[in-house]
Amino acid sequence: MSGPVRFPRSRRTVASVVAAVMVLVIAVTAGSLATLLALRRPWPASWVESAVSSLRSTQWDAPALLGIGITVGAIGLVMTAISLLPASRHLVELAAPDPHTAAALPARSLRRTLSSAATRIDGISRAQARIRRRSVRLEMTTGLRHVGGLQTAAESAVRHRLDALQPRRPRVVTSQLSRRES
Amino acid sequence: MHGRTARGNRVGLGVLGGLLLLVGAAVITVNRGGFGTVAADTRLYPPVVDQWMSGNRWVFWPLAVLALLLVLVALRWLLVQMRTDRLGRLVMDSDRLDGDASADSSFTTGPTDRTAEAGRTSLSAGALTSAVVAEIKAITGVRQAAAALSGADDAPELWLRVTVEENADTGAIRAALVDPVLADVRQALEKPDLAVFLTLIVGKARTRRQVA
Repeated sequence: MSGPVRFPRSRRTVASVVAAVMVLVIAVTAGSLATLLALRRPWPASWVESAVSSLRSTQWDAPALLGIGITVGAIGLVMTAISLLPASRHLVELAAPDPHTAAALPARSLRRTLSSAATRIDGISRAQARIRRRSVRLEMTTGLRHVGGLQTAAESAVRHRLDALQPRRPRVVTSQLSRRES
Repeated sequence: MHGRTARGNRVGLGVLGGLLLLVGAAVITVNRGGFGTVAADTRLYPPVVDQWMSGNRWVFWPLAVLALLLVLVALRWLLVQMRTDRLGRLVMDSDRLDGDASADSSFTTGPTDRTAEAGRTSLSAGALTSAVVAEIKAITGVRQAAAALSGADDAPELWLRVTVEENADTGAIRAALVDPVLADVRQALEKPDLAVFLTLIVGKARTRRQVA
């Protein structure tokens, strides 16, 4: 194995399931209608009859067809982009303890542990951490009137927790403290 | 753990996306008169095609077969999303295993888990992962652990999912995982370069119920 191991990128499962279901629905509908036509059976529902008659009357320059073309093209563009662009890793990667071990944690877990570190500071009644690519934003509330040093203490606790986790990409900790009357 | 599925998804999305992009572009081009005003004035389903289709109903059978093929492709695409490369057993060189102190390791003990034939030993992946999980759960601050082996027989990967307490010392837990747990596994399997994927989950704080 060359280089340190890393978590594989996402499998693009959601997009693939959506695409597969879309193909399935269209193929089942088309197959059923083709079979009915081949067997000279009547249409199973009135909407099929109205769809076929509107196909017979619609011209290629109809404004509705432009909308359909744009929609189909946009879906195709999104799918092509998902296929070509690198998939996300979903996890916050941590520094590898050795070249053959990859470590990571979900963003939700990082949010939870950092919020918890902040709320352990006396005076912080509520804290919520937002994880960004290169920073952690803390939004905290306190019921205290005098908040001197409280924000710094909370930031320091969060920074300490973050250092213990050793994220692969360092993040700057910023915070906002608001006062709520209890 | 999922290389083939990831590649398949990427190719599937690329092919379908490219196809839809082409269809969308073609519809817009005809609609805006890109192929001449005659094409734009034509009906989507001209009467001449309608008449021909009515007299040649057999043409719908190949279309139905094509649709059936598409249904099968779509179903397979959905089913492969559940595919994993999990290993049930690990094949090892028994000569090396028997002649080494690692044979005494807690990760390879248990005669029912090993079947040796002609110099090769097959080790149950379940036995190994259970032992790993037990070792991990013994670390202070660990609430839950799960382990799975995947990949190829000659290049297995160990996937670990460790749930820790909300305020656990993650640095100490990681250090304890690397040595002795992972070091022991690698030594027991005679694979010093065994790839390990460790996912740490931070558990929710436990709330204590007050008894009245």
